[in-house]
Amino acid sequence: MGEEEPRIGVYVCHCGLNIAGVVDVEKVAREAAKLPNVVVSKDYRYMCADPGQEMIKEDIKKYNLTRVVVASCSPRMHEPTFRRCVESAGLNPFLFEMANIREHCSWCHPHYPEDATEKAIDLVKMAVAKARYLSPLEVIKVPVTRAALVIGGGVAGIHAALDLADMGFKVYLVERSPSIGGRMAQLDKTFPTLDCSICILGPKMVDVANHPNIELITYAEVKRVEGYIGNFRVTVVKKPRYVLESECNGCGECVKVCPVEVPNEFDENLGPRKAIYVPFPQAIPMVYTIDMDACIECYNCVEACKEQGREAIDFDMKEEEIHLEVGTIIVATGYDLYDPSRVRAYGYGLYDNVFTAIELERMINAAGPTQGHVIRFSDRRTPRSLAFITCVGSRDVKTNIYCSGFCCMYTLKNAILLKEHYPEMQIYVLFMDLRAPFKGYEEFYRRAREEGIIFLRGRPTELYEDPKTKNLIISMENLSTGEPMDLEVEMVVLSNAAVPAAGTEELSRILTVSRDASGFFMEAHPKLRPIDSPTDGVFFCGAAQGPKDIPYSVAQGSAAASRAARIMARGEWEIEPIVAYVDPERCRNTKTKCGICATKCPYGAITVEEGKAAVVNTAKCHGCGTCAADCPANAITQMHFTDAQIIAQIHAALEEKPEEKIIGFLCNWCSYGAADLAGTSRMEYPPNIRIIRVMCSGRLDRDFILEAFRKGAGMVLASGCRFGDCHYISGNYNAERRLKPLFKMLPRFGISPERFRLEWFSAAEAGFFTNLVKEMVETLKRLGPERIREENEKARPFLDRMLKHIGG
Amino acid sequence: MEEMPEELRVLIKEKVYFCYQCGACVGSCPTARAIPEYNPRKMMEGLILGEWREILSGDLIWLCTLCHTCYEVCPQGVGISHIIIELRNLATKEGMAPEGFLDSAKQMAATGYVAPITGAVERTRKQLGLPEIKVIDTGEIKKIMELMRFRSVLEDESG
Repeated sequence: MGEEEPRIGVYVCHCGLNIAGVVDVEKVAREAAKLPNVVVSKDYRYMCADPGQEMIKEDIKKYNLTRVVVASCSPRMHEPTFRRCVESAGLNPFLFEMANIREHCSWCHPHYPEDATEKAIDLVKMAVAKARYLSPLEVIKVPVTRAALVIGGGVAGIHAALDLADMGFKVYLVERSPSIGGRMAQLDKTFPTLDCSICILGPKMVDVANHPNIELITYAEVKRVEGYIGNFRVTVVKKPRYVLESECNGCGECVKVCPVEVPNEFDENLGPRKAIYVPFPQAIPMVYTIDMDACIECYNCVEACKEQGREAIDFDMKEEEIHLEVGTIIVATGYDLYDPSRVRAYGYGLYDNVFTAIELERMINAAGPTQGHVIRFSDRRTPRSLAFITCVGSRDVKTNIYCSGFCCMYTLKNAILLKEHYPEMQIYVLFMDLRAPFKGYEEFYRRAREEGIIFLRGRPTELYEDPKTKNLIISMENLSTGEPMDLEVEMVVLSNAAVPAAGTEELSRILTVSRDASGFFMEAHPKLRPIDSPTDGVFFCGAAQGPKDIPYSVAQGSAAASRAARIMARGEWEIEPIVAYVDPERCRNTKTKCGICATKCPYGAITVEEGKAAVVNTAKCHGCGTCAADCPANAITQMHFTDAQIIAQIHAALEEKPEEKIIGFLCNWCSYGAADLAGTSRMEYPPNIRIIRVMCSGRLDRDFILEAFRKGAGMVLASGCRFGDCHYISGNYNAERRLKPLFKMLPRFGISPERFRLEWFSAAEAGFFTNLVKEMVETLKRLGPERIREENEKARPFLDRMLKHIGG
Repeated sequence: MEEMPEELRVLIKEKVYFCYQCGACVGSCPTARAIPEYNPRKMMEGLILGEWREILSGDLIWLCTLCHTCYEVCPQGVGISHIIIELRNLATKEGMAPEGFLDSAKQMAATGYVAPITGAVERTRKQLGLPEIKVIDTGEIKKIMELMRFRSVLEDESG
């Protein structure tokens, strides 16, 4: 509390008859007036309407109010409204508190008006108790560097970079390989239109090279990222290509004289390249690279370059560190392809004539290693029959459980291309389900059938090679006839799945962003924030976040650009002040090695240096409160959800008849949302529960639960989002780890473990919440107030000792 | 059996429901190649559709060679061969095991060999220069059968 006693105004809303139809609002206002520090208490028909808001503003001036409590609907509904209201009257918006007497009270207890009124009084009492401990908070403003880093120069990254550059932002595009273009540059044609892939991508790549706002950094990797939204400091390591980018004009004379040939990765190692090379003729930048692993240092290239009047080759070139300052980061690192040799039954790498789809793609490309001819490895002739096998390395619990999404479509494309090149070829597509859901895709599937491609439903089990003909015999069940069959073909092409790109794990560490169960980058919210990463200012696009085809990747590239521009356009970014703060006086890391907070923070927002107090980087902090709950020295405060505020709410709720009450700790995003939905859905449950809102279940200190029992609570509920759904990545996991031991601890104090419940449910699960409360009230009745009082008496000496630091 | 036995219900819920009918099991099944009626994929579909009584009382579950290839190739981890073992156990418990199987089991308990050792077998072995068949101490086999509560099944059958 501040030095002066707080002066609190309480406003009880009728919400027409929504509240007043059940709750005796006048009585609530009368009771509120008796509470300590309350100087004015009123009820009014619609607090959120202009006259209601005017009343608050006038009273703030008239009564010199320093705190305002409104008892009305859910804070998830009108907290922003009333914060603006008190702010316009000169009060700090964080000196406002809300009591939810509609969603959590009148709407769900319509048949118990007296109990509902009693509950509403409690809820107001709790809000007033918290309000007494509120402190003014200032919105934190950070400057934003108007430059972006795009990691990965595939089709998604190219579009993100071009869009941002066109908007006028400086863009650094970092690409790991010698040229941008990514997977799309390798493709022959694209589905479903059969555009030549490099013909439509090439001009975009040239745009990148020529754009005045784009600085292209190829053959380089991001090694370190420090800082926070608007203010990232990035270290990029550029590998030496031994050719000066400023000098090389891409004439290619060096290649002619290079005596070394090695397999070309761009052609999936089906054809050769020289030790000095560009991966493909349309490469951007059109600058040669020397592969030092292959180079024999004969220096023929140096001579050839000199003959052209240039000195572009520099064998003394060293690895170079580049330091960048950017406001936002876009991750567009794409995907790799599943290594099909791991599915041994399909014989890739073992049988001569089993290929992958991308190998076929290079073969069928006129500029590819076979000049557009599809040939068998065993006898260099075009096969008369060919089978595609789909879902290689996907939809399988032994490899990858997910559907790789675009393989069905590229299989159709490859089949159609083959049919166009070789009309006589017998082509089979062996599939389980054929997925063609987007625009023009199902039509494309129909076209494949029209062209006489044979679709056989069934997952091939095994391939055998005929040792004489090198043909392949595929065993499978033909699901349409229900009979096992053997299919002999001259070539097999495996449609292998997209998997996370190499380096995804390392990059996720560098950026402190999480990955999903399949290893792809994990978005902040799967529905409403599909582009954002959990770290503010970092965005994903394209297949880095999960397998995607070209139009989807392009759309995401543009989406990421717009999300990044949203931050950079203003030049300044506001951060909610509900963040954690470490009291350096109390932090025990100054004396002993601790750092627990830093290990628990899902955002890497806490820095702990030996011998110094931990420091929270407020710009990185999302305000879940996990660190505050886990700090062994109680040195961390979560602003607006402090220990003192929450304990004041617990005390206020349990002043009267505590053994009949349930204290429920609900997280803002899921379980509190479910309780709100129960109200809006008019689901009824007994009025015994008193809900305390926290931002995340990760905030729930074990002390809160114990304190509730010490104050005589009948039961306690701790709840949060379902696992995997936490809005702060891992808050609920931390809560479970911290609170689960209570089930063993409580009986030792003499408290029945069933009086504590730890539950995880989504904001949609109003029915679950309703049933849970009903169930808990049943338990409460079964145990009875006598036994509860007895248990609490028995536990009190233990709890008093444990909770000495709380007092009261 | 009126109600679905609990162990079968759990098995269907935890394993069989994952079957997405790809046919990998059938493609790899040596029995399916020889006997067109035998189709483990359709058997799983039958379990999903609630036709467990027909499956338990039918002959098909007894045709599996337990080579476990279907177990290996299944992309959804259904573990078909293990499910068939469970189905056989249930059928045996309900007295629906085929006579031939029980005869083999009895033979096993009595001599340690599944197939009866006839004079013809001994003569052929002699002609081929193979050693004589050893007489086996069946004590351990009987003990294992006892521990597996299989002997009681056999005794019920014979008694």
